[in-house]
Amino acid sequence: MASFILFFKKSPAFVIAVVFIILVEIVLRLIPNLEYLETGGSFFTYYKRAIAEDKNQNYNILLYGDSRSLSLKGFSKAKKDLSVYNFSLPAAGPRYVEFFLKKYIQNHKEKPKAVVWAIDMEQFQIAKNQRFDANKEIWQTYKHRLLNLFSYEESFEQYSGFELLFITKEYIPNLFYTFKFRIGIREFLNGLKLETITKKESFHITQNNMIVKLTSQNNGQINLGDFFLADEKQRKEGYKGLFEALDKEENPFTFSPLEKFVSYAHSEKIPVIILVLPKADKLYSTKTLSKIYSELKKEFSDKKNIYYLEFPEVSYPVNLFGEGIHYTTEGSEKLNSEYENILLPKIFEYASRGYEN
Amino acid sequence: MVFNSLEFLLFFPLIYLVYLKLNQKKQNVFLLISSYFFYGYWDYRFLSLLFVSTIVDYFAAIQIENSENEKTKKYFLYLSLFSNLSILGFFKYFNFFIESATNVLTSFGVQANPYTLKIILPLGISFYTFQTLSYTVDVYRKDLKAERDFLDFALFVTFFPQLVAGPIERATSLIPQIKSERKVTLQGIEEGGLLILIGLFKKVYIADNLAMIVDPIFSSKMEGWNLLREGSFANFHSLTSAECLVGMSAFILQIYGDFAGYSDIARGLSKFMGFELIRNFKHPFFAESMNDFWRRWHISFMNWLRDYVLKVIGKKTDPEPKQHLNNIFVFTLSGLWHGANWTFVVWGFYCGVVTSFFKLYEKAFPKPENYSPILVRRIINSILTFITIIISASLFRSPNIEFAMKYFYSLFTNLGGIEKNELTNFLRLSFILFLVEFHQFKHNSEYSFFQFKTIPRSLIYILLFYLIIIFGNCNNGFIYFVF
Repeated sequence: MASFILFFKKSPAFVIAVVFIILVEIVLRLIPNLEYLETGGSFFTYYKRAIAEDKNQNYNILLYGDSRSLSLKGFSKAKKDLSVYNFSLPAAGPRYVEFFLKKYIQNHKEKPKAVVWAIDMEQFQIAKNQRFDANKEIWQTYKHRLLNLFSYEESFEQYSGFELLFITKEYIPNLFYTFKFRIGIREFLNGLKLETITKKESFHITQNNMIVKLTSQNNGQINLGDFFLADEKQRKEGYKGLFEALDKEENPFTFSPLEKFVSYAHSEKIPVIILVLPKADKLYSTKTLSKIYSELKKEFSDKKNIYYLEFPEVSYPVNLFGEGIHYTTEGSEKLNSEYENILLPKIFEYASRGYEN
Repeated sequence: MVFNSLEFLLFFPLIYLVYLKLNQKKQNVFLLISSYFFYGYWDYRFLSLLFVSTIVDYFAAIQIENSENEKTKKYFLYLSLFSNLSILGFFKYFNFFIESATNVLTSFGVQANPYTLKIILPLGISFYTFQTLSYTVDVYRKDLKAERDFLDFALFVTFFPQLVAGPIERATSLIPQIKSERKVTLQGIEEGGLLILIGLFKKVYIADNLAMIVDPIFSSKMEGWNLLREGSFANFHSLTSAECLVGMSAFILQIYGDFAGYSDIARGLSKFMGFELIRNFKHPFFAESMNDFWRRWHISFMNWLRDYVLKVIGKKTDPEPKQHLNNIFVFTLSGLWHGANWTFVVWGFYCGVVTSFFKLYEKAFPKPENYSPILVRRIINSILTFITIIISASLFRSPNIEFAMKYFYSLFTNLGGIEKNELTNFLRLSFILFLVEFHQFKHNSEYSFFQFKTIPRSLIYILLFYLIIIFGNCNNGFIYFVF
């Protein structure tokens, strides 16, 4: 201790620098809505998290999915008999869903009447369900969601062993707000001009305000394909690449994330509806997906408190997808028309039945 | 683990806290274990190579010292050379030699099926093999007594701050420090801290941001042209001359930021523990001639080549042409050391030729005694030296010779500009690096920031810190790890 004090006396410049850095950290923690500085993807996660944690926002049906099911509209009670919120998140994998549902339930007195699992079947592949310490590649894709969606304390429930150690290590930099929000801060500082220094605007802030506006229009929905303007060539190449990857061989899969999701929902007396969304052209007949598709139907149909739903056509033409994955504006319109007119009444019916003991 | 990673940020403070509590002997054992852990964290399988190098050279040196017979001494020296160079040769150059031999045979019309292996290049192999080689040679030359304490010697081989990318330490410098009580002083901590801060600034802010300019330029497809097929340079345009020029300049600054940054951090960490490592870079961009440049760039490696290759193949009394040939040979070898690719060999050869040319020029136009050039002259000399160096940068960075040729062709024929953002970023990064380097150069000290008063000094610390954290690119490894 004496040595430290001596060091600080000898190096006051260092002390001043450290004090300044600590002050900046404190100030950053006091600034409200700092997440608006973040890139769109990270911000979107914060936004959905805030909705899930908001005791004042109650919904009858919660829909969980990924970037494709994000195209499905949510509904307020004013528009439909039951309110629906789309909690889908892009690029987050399937393992987090159970805990995201838990986050909602822990923050709300009133439980939802039903929950919908609309995660893409591709997410059942083993490669997408590996431990993050073993597959750092998928972690690189998912980390910006998962680190922002859950607190460190919540990680103890989700991970164990080496994976928990790995996640702990990944959380540590985020304790330091200057590092956590560095991309947003950088962009904000880069965009600063002398004459507009009092304006608290930056590209990210503008973009994120737009995300809030779009997402709140239809209870959590954004059609990502509206922003991917792929041309014909890119569309075909995207589809072809996807088809080849899924048809190369029958990739091993696991329903473990869905089983755990169902198990948790049932422990809370909430029925689960599995919703299978249409994919481009012949993707469901690839070696990987055809197997998953048939097994999913077999395993989860005709089970108590689990309902299996498909769209009238599980295959849409390729031109309704931006790059073979996400629905174009046209594709989203067809999707939502069928969803609203055909699937939603069934979802409401199942939700109204309640949990059967 | 790399210095700019979270793992290392967790590793070093823990190591350091324990280190401070131990006595000298226990510190050495602890550092040895930590160094093996540090290296094994990358790939535990290659710990065996480190161990083999250590064991062979430990025993070889002792046998060299114990033997009275010159033949026996030479035998153990060759054993050490063979052991280290064969490890290096296999892991680094096996596929290169096989493929090159195949190409030569094919050009003579002989069909040959190349048998290449999927070989992982062990981290830092070029550094630690050279370091241990220098030890056995020094013992043979009687510059140094053989180290009898195996653990101390093992620490000399594996000391983690400099294990994977140098500086290449001499046993005469590092072993005495290992064997003696080390003082951790406040001054050492302060200097070490500044070195680490500047090192991270060079690496994370300068080098990794320059990489975003350099990588796209050197990844250009350069399609539509094949020298071997078309046999001419006609109708080829890919990169513009401005892009080529910025690419070359940015790359040389990038590699400086990367490598000098690593060396600074290594020295800073060592200072925290009471060790002094050799300074590896001394403001090379202020060099006023090629010879001056090589006295400032990768100093530990250039000294190694001088003492263990040049002095072996030649003497100062050799005729001048032989001296120049030896010089070119050593530089060509230095190119090969950098990588298993003909671009490195040609790069080395170019550096050797240019250095010899500069020596001839200086001899032909000798400077008068007490020559003191005016500032303008010195600036011109530095710029000319820099231009000479950046020409070599394109060879060093190109993936193959054909790409390098296309690059030079574009540089001189495809007149055109560069995207404004790229140019602005390059100029900004260069300017900020220049400011730091110039201040240190002007005061002839890497601790020149200590001359500032308290408030300006703290502002510099704060600025460097935020340049690293906010504007730095934290995702890249160190370039020199692949050597």
